[in-house]
Amino acid sequence: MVPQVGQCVSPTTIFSITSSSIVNSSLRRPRYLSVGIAFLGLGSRRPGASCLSVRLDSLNLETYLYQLSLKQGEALRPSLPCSAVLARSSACAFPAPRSCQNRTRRIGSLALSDSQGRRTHIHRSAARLVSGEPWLYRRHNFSSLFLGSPSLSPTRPAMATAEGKGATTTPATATKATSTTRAANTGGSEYVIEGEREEEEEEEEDTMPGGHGGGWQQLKDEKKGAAAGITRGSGDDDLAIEMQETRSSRATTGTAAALAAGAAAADAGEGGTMPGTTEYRVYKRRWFGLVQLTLLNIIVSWDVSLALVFFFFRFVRPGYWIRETFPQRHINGAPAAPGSGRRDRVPTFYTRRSRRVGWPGFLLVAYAVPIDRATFRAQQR
Amino acid sequence: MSTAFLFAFTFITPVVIYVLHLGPKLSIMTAAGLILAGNWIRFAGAHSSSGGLFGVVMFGQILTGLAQPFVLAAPTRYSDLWFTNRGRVAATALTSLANPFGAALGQLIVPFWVQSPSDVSSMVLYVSIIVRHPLSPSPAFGSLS
Repeated sequence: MVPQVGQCVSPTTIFSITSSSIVNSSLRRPRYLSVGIAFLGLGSRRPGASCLSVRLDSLNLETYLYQLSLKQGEALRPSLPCSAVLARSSACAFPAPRSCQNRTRRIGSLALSDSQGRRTHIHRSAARLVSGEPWLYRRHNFSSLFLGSPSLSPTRPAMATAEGKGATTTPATATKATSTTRAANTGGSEYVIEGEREEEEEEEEDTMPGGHGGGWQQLKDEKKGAAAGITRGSGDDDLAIEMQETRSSRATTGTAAALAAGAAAADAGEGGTMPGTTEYRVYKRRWFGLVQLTLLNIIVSWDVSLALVFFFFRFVRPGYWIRETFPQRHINGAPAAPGSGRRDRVPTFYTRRSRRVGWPGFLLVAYAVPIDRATFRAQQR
Repeated sequence: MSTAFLFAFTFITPVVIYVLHLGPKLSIMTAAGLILAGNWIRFAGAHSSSGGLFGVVMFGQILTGLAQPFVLAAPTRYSDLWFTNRGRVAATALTSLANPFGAALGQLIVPFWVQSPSDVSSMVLYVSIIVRHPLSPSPAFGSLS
């Protein structure tokens, strides 16, 4: 069932692979279930897009990179050697060795570009996976729990990095920072991981409106570099690919190549970034979630309002207090109370067992019996 | 029953914070599952010819109450995730105001259904059926992460 790495498979196959791996992994380790779910539907629907499929073993996290060819008859070759990805990810098994942790970073969405300049973005969690960052590494410390973690914003644009000092200094720097594409000297294809947040050494103010503050600090300590590109390895590295850590302000890429990549991205409909401005990618599918959240809110409060109905029919129902306070049960030979014979027709949770209230209650009932008859008759209609 | 609901609200708040930290999708799905389970459990408790089981109804209501903080707090997270600064206000307002709207809707419609205690179980059935519809799988469930 599992195709060869790099083989062109259909999205359905990828879905089945992913879901079966989720089932397998959840049977063994339920707490890894959410990891697998996050990777459902990763593939972009555009031709030439690559899809990342994740198989969770009991210990090893394996990453497969499949090529999606959605056009009829078109088969694009994988632009990243998938064996490299495999080597990379299997080296960072759970729990990740320290050598892998050192290279981990929070990165933005993973921009995959093929030889024809088309680029696509996949989920940033996938990008994190490719980069080898361990998933479940006590990400939820106190600060990230209450201040928000940047890993929660997958759609923060990888290209809109007009935050921090990297983009506000000069337009040229911003242009460099927005496209970290490396020169295509390694066979015409490259993989670029664009950092959403270009890390600086100094403590800069967090200008994101989402207030993602705390989660970054821990990572700033971990690494020295920033937005990095996965390039094809030169062979001296043991993992065959390495995470090149570059700083955004440094912008090691050539300006011409960066501009070309930016133009290609703009052609692909992802929107270019004007220097000094912040542009966000928005998706149409967000309206689905909005509608769903609205409906969910409506029905939840509807449900909650039902508690009032139960309350009403249990405590405020006409005749309830009369029957509750009527001490007839405790008096031998007393005449049957109105409605007592029909009591079993009423669901029991609307009624309560009578309490001993004594003669004051009886006086109250003697006053209210005609009312009770009328209301009970109306109730039986 | 209302008191139990409020206690459930308090009880679940730390969990809500944690789940929202993981993302609005998980929060929404948790709420959906809780609502679904709570409604049908409540229906099972209320629908009985020999009288309902109050404990079961209470349990279902508590499940529903546990679901509400998840969707009450999710709009801000969701709009933060998916909307820009401009659209965020409207998105948050829409989803947040849907909550009192649903309460008003329920309090308007339910009295028309329920005239006597014997109608309560069928009312619970109606509500369960209605509730099921927004919870059906939609494209958003794949994209809310």
